Amino acid sequence: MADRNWTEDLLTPGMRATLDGAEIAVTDLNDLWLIAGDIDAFAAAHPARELGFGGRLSAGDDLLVRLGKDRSLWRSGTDGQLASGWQQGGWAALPVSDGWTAFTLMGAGADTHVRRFLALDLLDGSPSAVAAFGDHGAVILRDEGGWQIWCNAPDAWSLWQSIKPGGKSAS
Amino acid sequence: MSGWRHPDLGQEVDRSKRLRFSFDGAPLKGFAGDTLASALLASGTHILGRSFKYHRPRGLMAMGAAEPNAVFDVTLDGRTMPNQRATLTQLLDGMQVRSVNTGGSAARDPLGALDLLHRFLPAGFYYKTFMAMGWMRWEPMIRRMSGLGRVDPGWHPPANAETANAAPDVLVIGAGPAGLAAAKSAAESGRVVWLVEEARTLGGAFRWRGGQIDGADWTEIRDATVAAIEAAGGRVLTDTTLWGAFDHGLFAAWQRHPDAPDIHWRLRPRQTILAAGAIERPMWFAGNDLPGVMSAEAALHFLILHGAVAGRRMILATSGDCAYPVAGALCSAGVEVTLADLRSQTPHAPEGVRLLRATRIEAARGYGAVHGAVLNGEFHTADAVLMAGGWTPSVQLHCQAGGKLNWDEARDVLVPRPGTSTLVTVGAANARYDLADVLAEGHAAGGGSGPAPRPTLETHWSFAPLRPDPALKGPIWVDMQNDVTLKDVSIAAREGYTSVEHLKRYTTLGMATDQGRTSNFAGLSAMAALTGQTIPETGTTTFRPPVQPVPLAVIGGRRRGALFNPPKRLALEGSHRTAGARMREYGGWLRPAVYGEGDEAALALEEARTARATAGLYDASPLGKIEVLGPRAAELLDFTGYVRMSTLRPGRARYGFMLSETGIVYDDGVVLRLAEDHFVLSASSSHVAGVILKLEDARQDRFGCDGVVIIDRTAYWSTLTLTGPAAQSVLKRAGLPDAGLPHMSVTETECDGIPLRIARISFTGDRSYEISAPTRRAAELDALLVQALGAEGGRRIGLEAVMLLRAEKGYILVGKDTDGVTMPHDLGWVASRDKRSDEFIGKRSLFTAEARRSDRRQLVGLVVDDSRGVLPTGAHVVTSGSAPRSQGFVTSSGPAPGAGGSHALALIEGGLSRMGEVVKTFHLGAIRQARIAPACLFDPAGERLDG
Repeated sequence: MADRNWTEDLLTPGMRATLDGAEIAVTDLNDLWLIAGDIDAFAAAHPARELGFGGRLSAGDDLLVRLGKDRSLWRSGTDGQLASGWQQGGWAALPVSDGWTAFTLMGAGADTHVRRFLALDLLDGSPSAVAAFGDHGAVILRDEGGWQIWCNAPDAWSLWQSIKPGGKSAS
Repeated sequence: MSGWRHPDLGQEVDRSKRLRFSFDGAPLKGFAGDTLASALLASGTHILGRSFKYHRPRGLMAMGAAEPNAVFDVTLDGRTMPNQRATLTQLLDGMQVRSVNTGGSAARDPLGALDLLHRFLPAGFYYKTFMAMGWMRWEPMIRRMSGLGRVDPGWHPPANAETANAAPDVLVIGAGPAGLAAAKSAAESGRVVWLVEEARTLGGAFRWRGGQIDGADWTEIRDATVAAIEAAGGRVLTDTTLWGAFDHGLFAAWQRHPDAPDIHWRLRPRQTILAAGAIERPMWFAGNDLPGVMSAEAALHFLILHGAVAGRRMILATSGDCAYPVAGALCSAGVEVTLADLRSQTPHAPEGVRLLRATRIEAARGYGAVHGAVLNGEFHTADAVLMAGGWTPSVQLHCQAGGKLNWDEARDVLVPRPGTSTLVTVGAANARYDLADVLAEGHAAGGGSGPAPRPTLETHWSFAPLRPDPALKGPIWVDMQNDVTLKDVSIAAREGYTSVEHLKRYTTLGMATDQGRTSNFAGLSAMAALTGQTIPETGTTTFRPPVQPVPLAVIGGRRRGALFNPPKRLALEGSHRTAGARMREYGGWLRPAVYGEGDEAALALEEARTARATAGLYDASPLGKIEVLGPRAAELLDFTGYVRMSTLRPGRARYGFMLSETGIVYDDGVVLRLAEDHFVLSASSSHVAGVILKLEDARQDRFGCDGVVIIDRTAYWSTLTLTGPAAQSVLKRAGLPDAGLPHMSVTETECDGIPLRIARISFTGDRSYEISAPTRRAAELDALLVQALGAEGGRRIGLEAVMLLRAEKGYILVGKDTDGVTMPHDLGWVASRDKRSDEFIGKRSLFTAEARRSDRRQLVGLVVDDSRGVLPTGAHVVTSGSAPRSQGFVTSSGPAPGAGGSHALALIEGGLSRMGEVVKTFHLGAIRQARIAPACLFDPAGERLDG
């Protein structure tokens, strides 16, 4: 296969682009853990607010972001840490922050853009936070300023390119 | 046919804006608001194209998406769009329009001589004749003689189409009378309604037939509908084609924007109302394909909307009442109209119209244009023949959504069977033609609670069903674009192709760009008559998306260029680029191929030799890092793997395979055991998702959700692999702990606060360390290692060098050095098959007769002793003799950086028992000799792994 001329415009935290009526920015996700196994048992031991699709993030809460029946992302609102590996309660916890990239979508037009890229209705009410966003699997959540779209870090470049054409990049 | 422009009619054209365009080089004029079809009709251009097979002259026959003949290549501003449908293309100033499938122009096509031979070229002629005469020789010529538009390979869409999603409460497809009534009542109940209409304006048949609703002009209900939709937060999309219904309630719509990128909508409505209308059936008589023979409804459409009139002296053949207003309107516009009604009981003739009762049209006469028609055996002069043969409801989307059809004998149509799809079908699409019924049905479907809108003037149309009679003489066309005649249907029946699906494929009936809108009913009813079956017994072909042609560029949207199947990006891509890497896609990841400028093969060999001499460093981050945790983790890996992992001690690593249920090698990789209940499974870069799926299949099916979990941390870790005799020195110089790690072991440690996982495993045959750090710390690790590497005389190496290193060592790439039937014992791995007593996936298949064959293709090395360079990958190993047969093929090949010379891996029948045998290889006509050797050429004793 002939080489394609891939852009050298690499994605870095802090990059921003303007969309019609909105702004999108690249951010790192920190202190993120993946919990797999008995999520109910984990939640009993680590009380946290559970978020499904479109759930609202808040700064000070411990959050459990539901990915599926037996896996969730956990984020501490107070720099809390977990023991890594398999736990007696029937779950495993591993840090995963480095494997994720987040986009923050803000502004008056943010909802419109989210609706356009989302394969699900915003009011779908799915207990899972995972949805197809611009043809990529992503975690979709709200925060105080707008929307958060989390994706696997190696896919972040293509998701960014899918969203931002027409917008202007600036570091 | 002598089309002309009426001076007063044409409510949708702006006569103050004159537009210039050309057709087959001839300059013409039209008005803003014209379609290409209306402008050509008004200009008197009657031959608009040529038929697919016989190159017969063809003119405008229908309107909208039903038009089978008027398909053009349209050039504007230097860009050519092929196969534009004239009835759906808005006329723009400066358009250059070219007919398709012509040897010259539409009017003068030298290939038109084929028509003289048409009686000798029935359906199936080309295949039957030329298959026996060497099809491959004739195919290029036959293809040149047929086909549609010409693609301009240099043309790219001016902008990527946007892809967008929406989930309205109610989706109404079609904005004719039924659609407007449905959308209005739904919106008035407060629901979010999206109304999608293919035309640029709303109204459907209201636009050309007009109407008074509840005492007011129909435009009031239109405006009220739009207002209600917008008030409830809905949208009206005009110039939008809803082209497909898919699983789980998904609909795809193509919204055209003349001045902005088109939008491809993915709609997931809670309720869908189909009000797509119906298509007027043609009639079946000799010469029914002549330019000047057209649908009566289309003639009215062009007359009222564009003032474009098909002729001055017309015969309107009908069997129903709906043609009478058409005849009246044409007569009022100054056309001399003869109305030939098949029935003896008819309504009164409109004023000025000559009505012939109980009159059948038998033939249209002329060549290139209609000169008249034979009615009840008598010739009548005319320059246009209009047909009103009844209606066929547009049920494609209902059927695509899984719906079934009922045969309605009284209305002579197939109608949607209620409750069989998620769509509610209303109006003409449900075979309701009286306006009061249409409005009431739409109103009810939209959930309207009050009285439905009512037409001020009620209409009750009756008609006599018409069927094509296969016994009629003369060439009677069924499918205009694909040149299918009633005779072709008869031949298909005679030859046993009586199923409509076979009929379609044998004759190409309904396979043209109009998707059989005007032809499918004729084909199936003719077949029913020929076989003595009813229409329900005969059935219909399968309706599949797209309902109408959609540009691939619209479906693709932004997924082109760099975004077409985009690769994953490495965290260290910037460092690699700075070091001069040429990036290339490998297994779905963009990775360094080689570093530096110059010949790539030479660079790769140089990098590989350096790695053999001192040390090389490559980015192995894409290798899967699938973590399996829990007390039953070992059990899961034993069950899903060919090599037992439960016997692996913590801190150690073991190579193994994952098999499919059929015993075929699915993937290979090393498993690290970090703790009793914690493993890391390394998968090939492109197989990570598949391996996880297989692990999850087994876990969820056999283990439940307790006791073992699977977590993919491929993206979390970045991995740099250090390989070569100086690897240990580099590691020490970088300050990283070696801790005396033996080969096939792993440790978790840290350096300068960077958490590290270091594994002593090798993919090159030399001492190697796979060093993984959390991705955000990878740059620090990279900097440490690169600095030390330089001091030891090592260098970065790309994937091309790694491929050379691993091939001469005999290390495989699954999918490259294996194929779809390779089992572990074909690679020389027999211990697990012979010794494991427990169950594992694929085990049973390893003991079948097929698995035990001695002539299975087995992986070996091939060595050439000539000086003709490396064996080409893909070269076949062939038997001797006059009829050589392939015994296998070269899977990997290249220079051997450590052993010298060249080396190849190959899958060869019985290869493992043929060591030393000299075989012949064949590639593109070149034959060479090669000697079968062990797959491992470099350091067979494995001493360098600890070197």
